[in-house]
Amino acid sequence: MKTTGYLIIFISISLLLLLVYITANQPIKGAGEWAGGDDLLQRQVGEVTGGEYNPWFEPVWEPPSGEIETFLFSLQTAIGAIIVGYFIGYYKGKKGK
Amino acid sequence: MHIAEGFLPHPWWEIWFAFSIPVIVYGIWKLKKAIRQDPALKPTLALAGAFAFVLSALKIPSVTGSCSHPTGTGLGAILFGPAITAVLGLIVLLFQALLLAHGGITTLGANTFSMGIAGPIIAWFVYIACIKSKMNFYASVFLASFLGDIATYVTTSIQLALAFPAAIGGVIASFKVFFAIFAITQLPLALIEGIITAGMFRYLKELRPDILIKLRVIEAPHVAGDSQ
Repeated sequence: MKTTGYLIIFISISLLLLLVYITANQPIKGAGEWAGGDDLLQRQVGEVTGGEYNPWFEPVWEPPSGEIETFLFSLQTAIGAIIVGYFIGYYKGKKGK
Repeated sequence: MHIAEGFLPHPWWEIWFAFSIPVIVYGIWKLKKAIRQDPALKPTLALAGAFAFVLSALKIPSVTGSCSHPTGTGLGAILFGPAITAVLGLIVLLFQALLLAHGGITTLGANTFSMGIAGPIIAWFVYIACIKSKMNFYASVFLASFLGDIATYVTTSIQLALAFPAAIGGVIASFKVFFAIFAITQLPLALIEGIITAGMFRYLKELRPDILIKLRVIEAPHVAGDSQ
């Protein structure tokens, strides 16, 4: 069992290195502008297929501005952080008694 | 790893929904069963969901001059297994698709598959393999969430490559192009995710080892700090 475990770990890490190796030196359009990886990817779609791709469905609702989007992202982080902090604190306080 | 709204053409978005929906249904069933058996698991479930909430909202700048975000699903996968984590991932993705126009309703199936299913399955398997080979607990957690994060992004690249094969070179060529973007951006972020997840497990092991034992994450006799 022990060897199997190490074998799986070894295989997964070598696969990862292989992936990095085969994708190295690929030119990335738009990198270096601190753009989001998801956006970079979608820009590449047109490059790869040799034609512009038009999304066939629009978001139902979009944040009206970049500020509001940033606000909603930080809201998401805050909600998550409150819950994580609350329970860690609760566990810690309970243990202290 | 969010594929934007409407960005997957006709057969593919349905296909990924077809893959994801059974797992989600099974996950909801498992979640209900777990809560019914032990209602005290609810806070831990909330913790795992909230952890994914925080980490997937953080777009961290990386060495390449692009930004991306961790997934935060490693914690849930190690604690509860991939099926329940898929449900947690779906909640996060739904929030982002509806309120942030990040991801989308039509690509929800594909995004749930990459972040909620493929990543957690890899994380879960790697964790079990590491623990079975008697590796250090935190090193196992780190490796599992690190490889889970990478697996999510590999899956997204495959999904896009299948939907958009290159004019020259086909699916393989476009996979190389897509994964190149993530490979370099994501590696440092996956390392960060691994470290943070290991940190969370340090808290859990210190404060509530009983939860980890109950969920069979660690074995009972080893708790007393013999294998730090």
